[in-house]
Formats: sequence, C-alpha cells, structure tokens
Amino acid sequence: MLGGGVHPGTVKEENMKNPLDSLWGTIISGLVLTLILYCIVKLALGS
Amino acid sequence: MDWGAFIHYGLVRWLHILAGVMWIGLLYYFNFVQVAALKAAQADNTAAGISRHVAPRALLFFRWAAVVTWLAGATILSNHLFEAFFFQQKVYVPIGVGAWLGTIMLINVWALIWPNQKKILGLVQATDEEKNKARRTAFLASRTNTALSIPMLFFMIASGGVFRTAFFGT
Repeated sequence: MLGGGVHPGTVKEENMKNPLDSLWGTIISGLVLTLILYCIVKLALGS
Repeated sequence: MDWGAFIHYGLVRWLHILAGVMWIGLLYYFNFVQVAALKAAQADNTAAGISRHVAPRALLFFRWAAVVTWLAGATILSNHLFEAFFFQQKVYVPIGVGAWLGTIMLINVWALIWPNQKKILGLVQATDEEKNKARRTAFLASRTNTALSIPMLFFMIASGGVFRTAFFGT
C-alpha cells in the first residue's frame, strides 16, 4: 500500500476534475474529439 | 437561371450560415464572456442587470437560431438527409457526422439548457435547491455544446468540394 492507504493505480475520485469546468479543458476536449472523429471518418472512407 | 437551385443551395445555405453564426456566436458569448462576467458581477452586486436584461434576450435569439440553423441544414440536405444521418454513402459521411453533432447540440439547447435556464432566471417556479441543480446542469450542457461545436464546425467545413478533398482525399 502506498500514498496513505491508497492502492497503487487507484485514482482518488476527489482528485478528478471535470474538464468542462474550465474553458481550456472544454477547448482541448473539443479538439481531441475532432481528432478522434477525423481518424474514424478517414478510416471509414478508406482514404 | 435555375431558381430552385438558387433558393436551395444559395439562399437556404446563406440562411443556414447566418443563423449558425448567431447560434454558435451566442454559445461562445455565454461560455467565454457571460459565465466569467456573472461571477465578477455577483461579487459587486451588479449581476441582476445581466440576469434580467441580457441573458433572457441572448437566450431568445440563441434557442431560435438553433432551430433555424437545423431546419435550414435539413433543407439543404433534403432528400439526402437519410443518407447523411445513416452514413449510407461515403460522400455524405463527413456531413453526416456534422449533422449528428449539430442535432445533439440542438437537443441539448431545448432539452437541457433552456428548461434549466428558465428556472435560473425565475421564469418558472423553482426552489433554491432546484435552481442550484439547474445551474450546474445548464452549465455542463452549455460547455458540452461548446466542446461539440469544435468538431461540428470542422465537419461542416470538411464536408464539401475542395475542403473534402483536402481533408479526406475523396
């Protein structure tokens, strides 16, 4: 056990923040989603 | 002159873009300006002006611009709407993705943002607890739409002509 009783690899829920709470988090989420969808569509089109 | 094509691909497309600029422009106003402005205004007790005079007007144009944008977009696609939404032809896949994102955003506006904003602005009865919950729901729905607007606009741009060739090579 490490980190005051937290099992290694366990993420404490209170440390997780919603990216939509910040503007930059929102913009980055949008850009990541764009990239993912672009790759999927490109693959689907076989281009 | 082909008046049908002029109206369909010219005027309706123009309307789609005009209404879309108003919709997404106001969405960005809410997210980039009003959220932070309200927080600052609450600190010096001047938030009432924004809540009473600015937000209701902005929301009026925002929600109806969303409807006009969607209807104009559906009109442009017309008999290809089904093919686009269900990705039945390769050529309609990029616009289909954009159309799905726009549709999800429209549903967010009318099913989540507007009903919750009505509670926040006092247009419908709500307890303080309901108002707090409504504030969080409307905020997250609005932020979700801001995030979705980024790929939505990309696929709208990347769906036709030289842009589709540049992005997808087809």
